[in-house]
Amino acid sequence: MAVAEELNSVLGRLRAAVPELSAALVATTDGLPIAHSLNAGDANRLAAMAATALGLGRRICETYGGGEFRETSVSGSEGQMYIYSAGSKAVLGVVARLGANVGLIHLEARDAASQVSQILERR
Amino acid sequence: MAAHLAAVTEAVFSQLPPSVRFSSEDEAFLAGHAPELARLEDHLVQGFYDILFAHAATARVLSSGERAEREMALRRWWRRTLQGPFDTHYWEWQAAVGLIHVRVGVSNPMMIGMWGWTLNALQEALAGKLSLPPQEAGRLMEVFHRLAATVQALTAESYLQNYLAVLANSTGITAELIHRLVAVELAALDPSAHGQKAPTASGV
Ligand code: HEM
Repeated sequence: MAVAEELNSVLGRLRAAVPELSAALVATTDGLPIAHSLNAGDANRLAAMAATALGLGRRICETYGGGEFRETSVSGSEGQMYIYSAGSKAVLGVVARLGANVGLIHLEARDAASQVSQILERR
Repeated sequence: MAAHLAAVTEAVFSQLPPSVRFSSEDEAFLAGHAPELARLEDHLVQGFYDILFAHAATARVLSSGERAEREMALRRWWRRTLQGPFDTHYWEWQAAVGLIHVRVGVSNPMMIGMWGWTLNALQEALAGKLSLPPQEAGRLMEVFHRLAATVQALTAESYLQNYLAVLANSTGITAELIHRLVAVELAALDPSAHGQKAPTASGV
């Protein structure tokens, strides 16, 4: 299976497991979208933003001695975005409606991020 | 972490069409006139810093220490430029000025504006103070314009690249990602909506 297909199936399983998600995408650390499943919005912009949050999150972790960066989140009045490190080359971003089950999102998305990492590290 | 000056210099030279940048013929012609041009140092330095000290925004940048001390930056530059050679070391130094200017707060408009003044002051002095024949003065001004283009390109590009390198380093956002953010953002921008007024009835 091609990498893009594999990544898309990871995103598909993630969205099936957490129906409250309105977007899920995988981007390179340089901000290029490599797989996405969005109800609406601009994948290019979301990918660039997710990679930016990842870069900044990594630097913050380094600065306070927090070890390896894992995830960060941005909450607004209408929803949240969670951003996960997916290995050295990629980032996983998911967008959820307000009131979504955060515990379930983390459980499923962390697992998806590790699958993404494995898929990309194999290349 | 600063941008690599050698890489910035190489990139600038690859972008400048060879016919518009300072050449080895320019270098030889300038060297031939170096002794007379050296006599303009005090005149140029005086005019340059009079302008900078008379304007609040530029005077603020020069506020530390004595004027004579600040003047040394331009004196050193003028002497080294007349002395040559125009080697990698010289060009990388011009790129380093971009980094120095970011640090001390000299903006590109300040730098470019003073280049304009310097070229005008030179043109006036070649015919006036040095009484060069018009053809000679004209050829020398062409050389100075190519020097100006090359040095300004290096200083301004290095200013930008150092700005980006520091931003990338402090935030952990790679330069590639910054370029991508710029591209994504600008793709949504309609340039025709900027910088142009609707035509008036007279068409002016
Ligand atoms: C024609 C435009 C300019 C040229 C060719 C130029 C050239 C230089 C050079 C070669 C240096 C580094 C000196 C060294 O390596 O020791 C320098 C530093 C500096 N420049 Fe400029 N510069 C220009 C415009 C300006 C302007 C417009 C300002 C102020 C508003 C300025 C303020 C400074 C300051 C504060 C430094 C730090 C060194 C010091 O003053 O001791 N420069 N510049």
